[in-house]
Amino acid sequence: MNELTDRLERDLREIAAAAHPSPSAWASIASRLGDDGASELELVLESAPTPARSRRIVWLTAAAATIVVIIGLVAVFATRAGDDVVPATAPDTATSPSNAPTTAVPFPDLTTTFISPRNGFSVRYLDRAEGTITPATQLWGFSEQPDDGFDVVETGLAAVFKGTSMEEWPVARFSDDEIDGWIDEHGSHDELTNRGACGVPRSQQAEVTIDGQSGRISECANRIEATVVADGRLYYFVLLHDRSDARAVFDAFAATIDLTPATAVDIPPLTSTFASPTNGFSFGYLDRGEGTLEPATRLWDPVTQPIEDENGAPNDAAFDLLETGMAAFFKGASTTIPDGVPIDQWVDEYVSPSGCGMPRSQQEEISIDGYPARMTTCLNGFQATVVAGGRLYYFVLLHDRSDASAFFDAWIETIELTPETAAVR
Amino acid sequence: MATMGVRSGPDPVTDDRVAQLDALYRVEYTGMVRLAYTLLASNAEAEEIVQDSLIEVYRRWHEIRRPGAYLRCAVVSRCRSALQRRRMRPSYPSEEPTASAEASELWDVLTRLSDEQRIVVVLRYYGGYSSSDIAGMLEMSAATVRSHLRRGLSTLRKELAT
Repeated sequence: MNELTDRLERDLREIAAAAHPSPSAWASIASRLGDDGASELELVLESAPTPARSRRIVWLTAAAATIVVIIGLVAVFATRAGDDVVPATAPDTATSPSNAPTTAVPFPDLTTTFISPRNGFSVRYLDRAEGTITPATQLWGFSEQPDDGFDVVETGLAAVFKGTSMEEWPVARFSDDEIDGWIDEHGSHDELTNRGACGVPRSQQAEVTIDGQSGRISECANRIEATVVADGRLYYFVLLHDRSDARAVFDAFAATIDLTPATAVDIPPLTSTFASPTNGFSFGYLDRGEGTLEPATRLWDPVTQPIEDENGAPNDAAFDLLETGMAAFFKGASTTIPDGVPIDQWVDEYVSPSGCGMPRSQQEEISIDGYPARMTTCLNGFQATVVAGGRLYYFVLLHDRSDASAFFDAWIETIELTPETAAVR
Repeated sequence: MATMGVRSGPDPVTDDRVAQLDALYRVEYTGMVRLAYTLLASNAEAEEIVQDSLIEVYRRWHEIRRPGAYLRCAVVSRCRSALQRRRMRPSYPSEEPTASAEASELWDVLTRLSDEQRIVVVLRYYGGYSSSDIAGMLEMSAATVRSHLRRGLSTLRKELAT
């Protein structure tokens, strides 16, 4: 036991001791058991004090605020649409409540197929003019501009159809009845993405079928939104409108949707560039703010500094580290290759002794910034080595992702080797 | 203090399930709230998470072989989601436990770790769980747990030394 772990145990115990579990918690739990299983057992609480549930109040307040904001935005949209659009097929372009009777007004046939580059679905639309489609450019929820994560179809007929999706580990694990609660909690209160503006609990929403998958749909002023889960992927489709036949329009779009979760891309655009001040390379990344990057603090000599110390802890000081925040952690370092050493043998002996069980000479051949490289796959990781300008570069991805190979490839694609800029060694 | 009674037609199976949940509650509740609090520093949120988790255990009682282990997984999973929500909301009010200056300093560094590193460190050094146990709770490999642990400890060692 060392000083750090001693302190961790001591201080964490102290922090934990500051918790004060409610002595009446069982009453609250028991009352909820009654709600949950009323048909099985009617529970009578003589006194049931409610524990503090302040967070839910905050959520509800946030949801109410979000709805107000959304209604405002929709009003702006409706005004704009009303100004420059006269739907040929809609009898009434004035703002109308979405619960007005849906009229069987024909909407132009949706003849052109759009395949989302990121979100794992396709939908047909009316290709009326340039600018009809704005494809998603970012992962849903990873941008301050909510629509960056959406594929947006501007119909020009007082209706904008938008779709997005996300892979969420809880969705993949949950049973059907648990998905409602998860979407309500995670989807209805996220002002970053304007999700769930109708504010109706999902379990109370009407059912809808999209590409054979059972989902839920809700309608509110100038807005129809539907959620559906396919293969652990949550899809969210929205129609913002100023039409009395909005539901028919939404259904027309929905009928053309093909859900293809296997084609979704959950890798963010790596738009920022990090140039290592030490190791003589640069790479692209998604800047998530403080903590995303940790530059190397010393030079690397694999002969004297093995990648792990005697306790199995990584010797990462010589590595530039990238914490993606998406269950993927990259690191890279470089060093001067000693004169005359056979590179494969030297890498096997000093750089990556485990080599994930494969000698470098037998590893997969790839290319990094135009230089021939080797790559091997480990449990929850990938390693690549490449020689450029007399330096050996070593790149590693540690992950907990099903699409890690594509993630690694995307990162490797952004790497530029500049051995002339390396600090030394 | 609330008491619970049966108004009519008690179902012995359900009644037994409630009694067993009550026993589980008595054994685990305080410890689980403290664990959740150590991750979130919010008493209300910690209690809500543990209570929600106990309800989940109740609903799935007949599918679960080890209710205590399931409860721990459910609590940790919900804490992980709560941390994820906070991260996506820069405006979320920061929480800080009432503790000594030294413990507060540790808390400050813990909050700067990634969610996974923070959870793994707390489960290991407060919960006393092994890498394999933690791997099961977080649905990741033990190697990944050890990686998060090494990274977390490395940051803690560096930050607490300065």
